[in-house]
Amino acid sequence: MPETAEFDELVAQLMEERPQIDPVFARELDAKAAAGFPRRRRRLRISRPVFYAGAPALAALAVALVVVTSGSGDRRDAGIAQSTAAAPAAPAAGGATEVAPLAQRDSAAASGGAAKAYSAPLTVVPPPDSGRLAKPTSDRVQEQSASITLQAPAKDVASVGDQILQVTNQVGGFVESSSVRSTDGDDGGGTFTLRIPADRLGDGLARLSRLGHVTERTQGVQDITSLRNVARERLQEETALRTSLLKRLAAAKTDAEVSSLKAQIADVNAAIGAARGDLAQVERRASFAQVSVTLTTAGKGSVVPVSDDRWGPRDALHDAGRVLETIASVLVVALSVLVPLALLVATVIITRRYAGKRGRARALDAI
Amino acid sequence: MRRRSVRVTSTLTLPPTASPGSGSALDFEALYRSARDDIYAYVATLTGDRAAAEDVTATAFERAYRRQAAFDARRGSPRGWLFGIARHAALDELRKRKRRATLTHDPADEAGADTAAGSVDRLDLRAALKQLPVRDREIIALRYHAGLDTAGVAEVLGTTATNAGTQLHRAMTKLREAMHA
Repeated sequence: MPETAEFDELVAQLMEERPQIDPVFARELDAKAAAGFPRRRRRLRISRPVFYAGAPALAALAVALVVVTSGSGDRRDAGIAQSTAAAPAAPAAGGATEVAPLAQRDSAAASGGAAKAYSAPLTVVPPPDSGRLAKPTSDRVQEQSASITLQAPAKDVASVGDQILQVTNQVGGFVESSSVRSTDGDDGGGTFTLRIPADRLGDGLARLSRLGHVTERTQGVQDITSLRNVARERLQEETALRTSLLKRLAAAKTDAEVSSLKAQIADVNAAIGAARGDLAQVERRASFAQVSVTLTTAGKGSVVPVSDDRWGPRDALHDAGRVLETIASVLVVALSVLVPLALLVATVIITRRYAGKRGRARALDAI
Repeated sequence: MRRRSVRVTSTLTLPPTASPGSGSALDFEALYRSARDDIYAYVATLTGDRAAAEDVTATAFERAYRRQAAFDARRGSPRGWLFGIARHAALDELRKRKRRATLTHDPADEAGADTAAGSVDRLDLRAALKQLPVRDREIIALRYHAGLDTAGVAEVLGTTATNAGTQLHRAMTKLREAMHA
């Protein structure tokens, strides 16, 4: 059959036209195969799909980190603001209140010393800033305060009272005032006014809280910078005045002049002492926080949970629970980031495979 | 039936693999020896470019070497598996060439052409092959340049032997018509 013969001839031609491998290439390929096809060192190339998928994911992750960290910072600042808002932060009011005792002292001194002839009257009210004196420093001074109400069984009032005093000593503070009432009934209690170093206030409050059941706790901060500045300025004024009087004393010619100046210097020394005392008092208020502790007893039949310093199985369980909670929280956050990323990567991989299959199919249809 | 062939011999010892005849294990060394030239011939016909065919051949064997542990004898023969890998590599090359300018002729072909009386027929055949759609060129390459039988062609293409035979017949008809055009 001619058609069959033509077909056979075509097949023969095809077989003759079979491409032959180049001997040089064949040897190179054999060498690679013998070496186990060593991997070629390639520069890291990020394919476009991976880049287009990864870049937005990284950007989203960065934005999420910024939002989370700034949000936690805002909550921390809000907590501090809440604790400071409890105390009236009114420097003007505080300043006006504290100036009164000084004015009373000065007016008493002025009335008592009316017989003495002063060439320059003492200034009672803090003078306005006329630029003659050194301006107050810009650092702020704050007085911290706290109050805590503890509840303890009636039979433990005395011992808890003692522990309050011990805690105060342990943190380097002192007791300004205290009163404890122990009775046979349930109406015992006590009040304490403590001064605790400001840098140990947190530690002190934590220790006090463990002495009984805390039913109330408040903390506050008051700015007393103006009081400090007033005390400083007064001290500077009196010191400058004394310096001036001493110069005048050195130049005095008559006995009467000398006597007068000495009397003035004595008064100024007293004023300097008072000013120093006021300044020290303000600085002490800043260095030591005032803590008011009220000790109450529970009613009949009520159970007062009293914690102690010992760490027992219950504490261990509580701490273990907190640790597990933290771990679970971290896992949730991590999954919330990783799961979308994994889905994104899976989508990219599936899309590439599908695109590859379609691409090969299209290549087969090409001419 | 005349057949011209140039055998390139070498003492080749591949790194040790699973021992032959161990069930589903692949004897890569034996497969390489037997299929090296066939793979090249198939890829060269399919792509129509010798330089590209060398790259694709090397890529195919490298991929097969790295994936030999994944070979499953229940899914096909080693040759069918290897030709499948080579097919994918060749089609990927064709996809890449779509985005680049392609040569209209292969200088190596012209350099190797002689001036004998049959050269005109060979040029016609080459030109006709290049004019064929890739699908038809591929099946011809698998059958007559790679040396696969109809069942082997069907295995590579993922179709039945009957269907492969029908497609082959159609491709040969088109080739003949292209030569007479």
